[in-house]
Amino acid sequence: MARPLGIPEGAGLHNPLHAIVRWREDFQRMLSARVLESRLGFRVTWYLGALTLGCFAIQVTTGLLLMLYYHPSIPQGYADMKDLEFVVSSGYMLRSLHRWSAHAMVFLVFMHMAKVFYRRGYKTPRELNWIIGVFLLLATLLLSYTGYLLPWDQLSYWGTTVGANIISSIPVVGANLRFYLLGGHTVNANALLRFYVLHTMMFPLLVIVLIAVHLWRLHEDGGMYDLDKNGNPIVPEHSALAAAGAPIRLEEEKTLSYRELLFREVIGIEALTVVLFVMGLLWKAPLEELANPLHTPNPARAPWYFTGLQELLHYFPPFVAGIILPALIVSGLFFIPFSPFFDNVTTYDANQWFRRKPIRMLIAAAFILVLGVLLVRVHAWDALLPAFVVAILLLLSTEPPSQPARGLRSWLSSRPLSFWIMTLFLMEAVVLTAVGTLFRGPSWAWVWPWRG
Amino acid sequence: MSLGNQFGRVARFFVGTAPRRFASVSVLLAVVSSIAPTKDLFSEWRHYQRRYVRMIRNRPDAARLERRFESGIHQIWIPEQHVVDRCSTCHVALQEASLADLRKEPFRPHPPMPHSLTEFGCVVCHHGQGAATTVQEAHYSTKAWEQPILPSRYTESSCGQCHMDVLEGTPRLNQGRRLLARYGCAHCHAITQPDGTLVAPVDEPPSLEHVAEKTTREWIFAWVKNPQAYAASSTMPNYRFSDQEAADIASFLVAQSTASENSRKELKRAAPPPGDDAAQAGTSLYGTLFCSSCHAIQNAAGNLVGGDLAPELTRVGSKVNPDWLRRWLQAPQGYDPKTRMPRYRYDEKQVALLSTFLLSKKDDDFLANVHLPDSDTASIARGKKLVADYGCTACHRVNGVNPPESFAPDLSRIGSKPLFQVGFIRGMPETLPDYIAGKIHDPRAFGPALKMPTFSLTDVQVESLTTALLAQTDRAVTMPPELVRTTSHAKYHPGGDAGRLMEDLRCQSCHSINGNGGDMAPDLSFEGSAVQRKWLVDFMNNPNTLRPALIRRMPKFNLSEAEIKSLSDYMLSAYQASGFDSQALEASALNADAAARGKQLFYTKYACQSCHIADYKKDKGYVGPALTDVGDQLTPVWIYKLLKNPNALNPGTVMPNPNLTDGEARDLTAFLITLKAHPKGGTK
Repeated sequence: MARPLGIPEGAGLHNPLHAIVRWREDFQRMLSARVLESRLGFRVTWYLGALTLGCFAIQVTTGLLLMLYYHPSIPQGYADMKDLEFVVSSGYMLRSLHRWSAHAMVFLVFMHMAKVFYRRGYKTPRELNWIIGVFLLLATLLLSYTGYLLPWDQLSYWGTTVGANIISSIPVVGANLRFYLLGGHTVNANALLRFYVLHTMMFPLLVIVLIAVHLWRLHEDGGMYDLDKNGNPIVPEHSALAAAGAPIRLEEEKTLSYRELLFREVIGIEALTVVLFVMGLLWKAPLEELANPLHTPNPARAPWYFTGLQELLHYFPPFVAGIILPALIVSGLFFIPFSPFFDNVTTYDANQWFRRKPIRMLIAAAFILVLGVLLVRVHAWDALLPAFVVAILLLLSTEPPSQPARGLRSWLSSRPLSFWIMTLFLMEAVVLTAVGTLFRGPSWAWVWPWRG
Repeated sequence: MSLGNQFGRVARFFVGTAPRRFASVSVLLAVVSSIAPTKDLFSEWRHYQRRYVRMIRNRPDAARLERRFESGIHQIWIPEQHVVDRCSTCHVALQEASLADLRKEPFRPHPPMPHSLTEFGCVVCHHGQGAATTVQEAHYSTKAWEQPILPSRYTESSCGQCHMDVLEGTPRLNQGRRLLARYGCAHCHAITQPDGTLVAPVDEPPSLEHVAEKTTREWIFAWVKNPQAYAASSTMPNYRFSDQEAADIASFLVAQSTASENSRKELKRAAPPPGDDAAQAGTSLYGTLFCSSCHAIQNAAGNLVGGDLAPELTRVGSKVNPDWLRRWLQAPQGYDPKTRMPRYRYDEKQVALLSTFLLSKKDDDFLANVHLPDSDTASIARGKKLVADYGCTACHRVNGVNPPESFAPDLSRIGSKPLFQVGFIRGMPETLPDYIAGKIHDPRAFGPALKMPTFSLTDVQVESLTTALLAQTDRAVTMPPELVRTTSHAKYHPGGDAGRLMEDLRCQSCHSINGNGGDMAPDLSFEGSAVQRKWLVDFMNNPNTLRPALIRRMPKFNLSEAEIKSLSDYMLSAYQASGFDSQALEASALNADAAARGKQLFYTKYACQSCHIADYKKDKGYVGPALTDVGDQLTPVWIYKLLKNPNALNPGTVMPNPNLTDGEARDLTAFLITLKAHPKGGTK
């Protein structure tokens, strides 16, 4: 390892001032991969990871403050919500910030994942970081879900109940899992205490550890650009230089991400915080009546990030919608990055999956047919829509890639299979979540939101 | 320079470079994050408290009010009742009696009340969301709070959550509870009250097992169609039966009727004296027997005259079979063993006169248009089904149809019924009081298939019933027993020969004994301590009234000497209050001197004559009972103790406590026992 910068040769390490200098430099090294200036731009990552981290920081801050007022007991927990709303100075803002930034965090985690996936940021050497990212996604969902119960109002009680029922549809272990999670057969005081401990202790610790590893890998894996077969970064600016035969001095062009990137990301996080504050001023975090186990609201809706699943549950038996499909999604997220079959391209402009047009046509047709039959059979109309959109796009992409790549069709035709799977997943997620959250009324019947 | 350029320059100034962007966003964040704490300074409750402080500056007792005012959120916390009331944060002057002239909220002081504000809080009585500190959230229904403030016309219902005793301050609640019992709501609905007892109906739906002896199919038809057309004061509700349904029911009721015990007896009949004399004699007999203590008859002016304990008799001649009536007057229990009507010892002549009078009370128009087709088995079967379906047997006894079980919803917790369980009519205000009132007023409006009938109630009665039902809250049911204020409900029935006689006479239809019985006549629980034997015997022989202004009075039972002896022996020994031995009062203290001092006190210091009459020639007091022969009637000890504390011996009396010294009470007693009936009966 190189000697720390800025410390004179032969200086005693016992000098406390030097120790301070060294700490600062250790800190710099910890956060700073040296990266090319052009890789620090907003368009590269949209700073989604940093914004997610910012959300988490807001969650920890507001969460700690909320813990000063909250008792995980019934009905005191609910009474504490009332105190926050009516007595604690800015208490409603604390709750609102916590609630809206939780939503923002879930949303940003999804966005971050999609952005990284589309950029194929999971490629070597970042496979481990991708896996950690998937765990962070799951941990974020669990954090959000466990926190949902704590206000102990109708919304949280029934949202949690719906979620717990999804868990119990796992074969063999489902009922036990639900029992251990809730500490009983129904959502009750035990469940509240368990969710409180999970929400304020277990999952935050887990997330902190995962974030630390995530950031450490980010640092170790270097800047955010693709690597060629030899492990060298592919920098579009340099291909022109290389073509002209000019020398490329990569290290010299690199700059400290600590100075540049962190500063920009802090600005982004601040801007996000401003937005969350404004949201808190405009919309209070929802609070309904005290949880009443005898009064099931119609519909009982899960938190929004699970309404997509709930919508699927409406169409498919619980085992399929609650277990098989989520398991497929999660295992897909784990598996796809490491399977050349899904991802057998090395550059953006070389499409190597099924070069032969008739086979691609056949795959597209079979895909449409199977999905169509399946979804029509179960009347899953809103799940059908994204599938058909993706299928039509697939058909459009049957044009063989032309050189140079131009136009939508040739761009589409150069996408790898993983692109199509991710796009389908995201479109389904967006459509099903939107329908489940906005378009479903009593008995889960279709309702136009403006008629609600 | 163009506007676009200007804007560009301004934008560049703020976000031109990274440090500037950082500075701008940081300043923005600082501003935005300080909005919420700043808004807190302008919250509603602070606004009201500032207004209050400005207002009290102009009051005469400003210094005192300012000293007593504390700014900030005020809170009453009662953990056992889950009460956190912050109402006094805005209603700061609840305990400032000197602001009683204020008419506008939120600064009106609370009217005087028997409870301490800090002990009971606000929402226990007024509902609403006590924890809230904004007007909207505290007073109205929101997504987070269902129960709004209870409209003030129903506030008395809150007293009924603990109080089962009859309070002076809750006329609505008291009336509502009386109506609940009187209109027989509890025949169908179980209503468990805060003290754990069920509401007991006090109406007396007659047995229909022998109804064909009493009346005709036509009358039953007309009655079932509209009971109030026959007797405006009837508590029988209107089921809105169609002609066909009413005819079917009438057919069935006549068909199921069996012979009563009375019908098997030979009817001893005395010929009534002929002509106007008989009518005259009957009318006056009805008066002197004091039938109107319980029964009412509409007079020429259309007003009901008489009591409401028993059926109205305005058109009874159009209803009853004459022979049935005569047998009934002789032995009501031979027709209906459970009737409240006492068995009077009428002689045959009296029966003849009374029945003549009653049969003359008829309305020929009432059944003029009723022409029913002959009854057939199909109609009878349909009638039986209707009687079973509509739960007629919840009130009436009918042969072959058992009383329905859990026929109507339990109303024990209706006052806490969650609104999601309530089916409102479109367009009605969606609150619980409105729902209950609407349901009582016109049950069928909530669905034509509902069975609950329409009762003939005034708006005020509906409001009172709603008040009584709103008292049936969860809080009331779960109230710790030591908090429930109640009167004893122990079932008391006198025993032995005298007990059987009292049962036969239905004494408890009117009198309460040991907390059990009617409230029309004086409570007899301590009668043995109160009265003198001679007076009691005389009274039972010939009940005269103590309060001439009242219509109701004790009827004459025509008791035999032996019966009277049995009754008085029993009452004088059994109905004794504790501590009433004559030792409490030295006889020697009740001498003529004391009586003279007592007379002085009676007429001068305490002016008792403004309510009581000691001497018919001088006094005009009609509020309390006449005392002209109180010396014959009451025991000295009773008089003495009553004077010392009227309410203790006679709960609910309007007589104020005169706060006499022992000496004064002795002197007054000495005076009062000198008030005796003139030996020749001259003062009567």
